[in-house]
Amino acid sequence: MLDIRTAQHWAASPDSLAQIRTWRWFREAVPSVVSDLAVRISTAEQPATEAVVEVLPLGRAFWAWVSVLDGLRRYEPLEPEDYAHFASGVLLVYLLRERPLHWPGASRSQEVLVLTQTAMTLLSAWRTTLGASALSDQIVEVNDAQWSSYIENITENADVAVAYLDFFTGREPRWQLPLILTERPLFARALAERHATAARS
Amino acid sequence: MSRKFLRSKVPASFSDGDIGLAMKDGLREIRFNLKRGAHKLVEGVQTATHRDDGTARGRLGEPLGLAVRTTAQLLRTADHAAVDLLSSDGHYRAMEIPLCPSATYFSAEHAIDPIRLFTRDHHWRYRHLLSLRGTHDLFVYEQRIERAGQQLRSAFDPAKAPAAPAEPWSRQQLNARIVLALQAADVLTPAIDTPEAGEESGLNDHAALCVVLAGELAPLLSGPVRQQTEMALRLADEACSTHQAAWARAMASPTPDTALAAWMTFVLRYL
Repeated sequence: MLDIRTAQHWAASPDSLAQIRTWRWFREAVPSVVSDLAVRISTAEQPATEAVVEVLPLGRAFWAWVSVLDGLRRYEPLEPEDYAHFASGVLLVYLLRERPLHWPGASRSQEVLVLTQTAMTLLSAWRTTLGASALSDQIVEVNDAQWSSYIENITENADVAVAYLDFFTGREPRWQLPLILTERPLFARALAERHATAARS
Repeated sequence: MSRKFLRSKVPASFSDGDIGLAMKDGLREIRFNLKRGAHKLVEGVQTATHRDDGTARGRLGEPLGLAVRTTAQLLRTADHAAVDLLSSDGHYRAMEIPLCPSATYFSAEHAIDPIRLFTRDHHWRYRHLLSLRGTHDLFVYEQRIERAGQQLRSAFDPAKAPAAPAEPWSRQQLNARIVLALQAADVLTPAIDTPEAGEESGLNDHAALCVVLAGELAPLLSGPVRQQTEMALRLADEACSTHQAAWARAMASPTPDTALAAWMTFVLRYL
């Protein structure tokens, strides 16, 4: 479900946590991994040479993504690992909405698979940078029915991709209000503890 | 090509500097429209002569094409001679001068003819930007950039502007004012007889923002100066194209300088 070698390469950069949130890095790195992932699932009848990542939708997805993260920066130190999962999920939402991958003849399922694997590769790099356990050990095996339900639900509302990414990576998914960071169990707990500490002192 | 070539006018009150830039703009505009006209003529004749149907027009195709190509070659020769006359800013043309933040031209420390340098630098930023975008039907008025710079500079002078800011503007506030001054100056104008002129003239706001953003970005990039300049303009262009709704909202807000400064701070954080 993810490109481990690329994730390791991304995480090896000394300033990777700041770097992955810059357009300068994103515009080069993401199209490259999307193309690689498309090659992996391509077939002789449907070669990945036809797959192209378009700059305009990619840029729209990027700016929408960092706009969300920018407003939540102060929460990141509370639960850095869970924040990485949330941030990767939000990126997936905007990639699914903007659809930067132009691959004539590919099915929606193939397109979604490549974009989901891209978000997971970014998450894997982010976790490695934080010193967290390998993402590949957390990934849940998804059956056909679950995958079909994923495609159906994100087609209706791309926001639920945050919850699905949590589900795929062994986290507790939050199906309601998936784009509200402070509603996530770990963040809700951390914030409650912080308020309790503040009240005591 | 029979219409008048020159549309720029020298304003009623002008200085020696204005005359120099007006002449430069005028010459450049003639060159620009001649080059575009010659290009279209060659294209038009080529299209027509490809339809060789054995008629008189078809038989005339080859000599006509040769004549047009010779004319275009003569125009190019004249054009190169004109470039020599206008090329005192060759270092900017060749991207040999590193881009700097636009705001530095308006800081107190920048004492040596800052408006002249601001004008030259930004004129070439516009031209390089258009070239990178592959946009060839827009003309860049250098004199309008100078006027925008002069108006902005006078806003700092308490003698000329009683409403000068009590507190110094932040770097991004100043950048926002520069963008708005360039935007109001309508620096870009479509070439004569360009059918897509209306579409292209929408680039005025976009380009004003790009040239100022590029000045903030270039010092953060590594590599030779030319590469830095091209990359800074390209990144600024991509950011402005893909985040257009946000900056357009900022420009249309009741306090565009504040909103634009906030937008630029945000964008520069993630560029």
